[in-house]
Amino acid sequence: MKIAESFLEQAEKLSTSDPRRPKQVNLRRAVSAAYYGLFHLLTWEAAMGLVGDERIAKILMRTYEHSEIKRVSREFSKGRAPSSIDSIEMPEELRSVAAAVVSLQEERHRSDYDLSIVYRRREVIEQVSKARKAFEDWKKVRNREAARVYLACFLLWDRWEKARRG
Amino acid sequence: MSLEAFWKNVRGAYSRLEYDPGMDRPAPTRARILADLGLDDAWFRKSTVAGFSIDDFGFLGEFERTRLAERVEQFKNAAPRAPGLQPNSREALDLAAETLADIIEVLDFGRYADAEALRLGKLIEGELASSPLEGVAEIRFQTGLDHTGDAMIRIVVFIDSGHSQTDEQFLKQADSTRSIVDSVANDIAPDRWPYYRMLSIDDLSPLVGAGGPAGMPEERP
Repeated sequence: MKIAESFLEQAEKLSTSDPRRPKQVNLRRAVSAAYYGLFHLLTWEAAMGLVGDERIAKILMRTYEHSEIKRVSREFSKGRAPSSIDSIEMPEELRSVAAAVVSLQEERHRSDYDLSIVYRRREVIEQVSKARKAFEDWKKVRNREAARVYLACFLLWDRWEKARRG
Repeated sequence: MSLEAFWKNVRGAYSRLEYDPGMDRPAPTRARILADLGLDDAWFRKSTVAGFSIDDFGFLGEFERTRLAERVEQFKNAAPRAPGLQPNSREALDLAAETLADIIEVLDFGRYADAEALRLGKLIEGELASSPLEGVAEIRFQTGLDHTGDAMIRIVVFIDSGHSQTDEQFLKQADSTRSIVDSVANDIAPDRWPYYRMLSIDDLSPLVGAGGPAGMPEERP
C-alpha cells in the first residue's frame, strides 16, 4: 500500500532532517510514523486478503485494534500460532516482523504521550530502521501460510482459542 | 519484608536523586552521593535499611552480597534508635554517610530503576559476563508495565564511542548487541517483553546549548 511506504519514508526523512540539532517534535513524529507505516502495511494486507476490494478494504482497516494486533504479534514473535492450528511453519522473518510491531507500537505510544523523555537522533534512526527491516522481511514472507494466519489472527485470535477450548 | 521494601526504604532516604524517566542521565558518582547525603541527616535512621534480608540478594556475587550485609549491619548499629532526640555528631554522620553510600552503590539507582530491575538486571549481566559484549559501554534496566498493561523490562544500551562514530557503525553495533541481550533477557525474564533503547555513550554527556555536539537534542520538552 502506497500510504504505508509513505509513512515509512516520512519517518526516515524526519529522523535525519536536522542532524546537528534535531527537533524533538521531528524525532517523535518519526517514531510514530515508523509504527503507522508498519501498521498500515499489515492491516491493508489483512483487509485485502479478506475482501479483495480496495474501497471496502480501506473501510475494513478501521476495525483493526492496536491492542489486539499487539497481542497476536507477541505470540507470533515467540513462534506461537493459535493452538488449534496444528504444525504451522513459522519463518524467522515473520517472527521478526511480529516483534517489530510490538516494540514500535510501544515506542509510538511513548513518543506521542511521554514528554518526559528526550529522544536522541540515533535511537530514532534505529527505531525507523527496525520498521524498514520489517517491511523487507514482510515482503519475503507475505505469501507464506503462517503470514496469512498471522493476518487472520488480528481478528480471529480469540475465536480460534475459544474453539480450541471447545 | 522483601527486596522491594528494602530497596524503597533506601531509595526513599536518598530522595535527592531525581527520577530519570528515560534512564539516560549520568549515574551519580560517589562524590555526588556523599554531597547529597551531606545536605541533611533525615536519612540517618534505622528505617533507612529496614527490610533487608541477605536471602533476597542471591542474584549478587558472594563478595558483593556479604559486603552489602556488613554495610547494612554497620548502618543499623550506628543509626539512632529514636532520631531527632539529640543532635548527631559530624563524625557519626560522616561515617554513616560513607556506609550508606556503599549500600547505594550496590543498588545503583542510576542503572537499575527499581528493585525488580536490579534483580533481573544483575542476572542478565551475570549471564552476559561469560562472553563480554564488545562495543557496549553500559546497560541499564527498568521494569514495569507497557502501555497495554503487560509486564515489560526496558533495557537501555549505551554503545561505546568507538562503535558509534557513524550512524552505520552505530546501527550495526546496536543490532548485534540487541540480538545477544535479547536472547539472554528472554531466558531470564520470559514473562516480560524486552523493550530496548539504544543510545551512544556520548548521549550521556550533559545537555549543552546552541553549537553543542552533533546529535544533541535541541530542547527539553
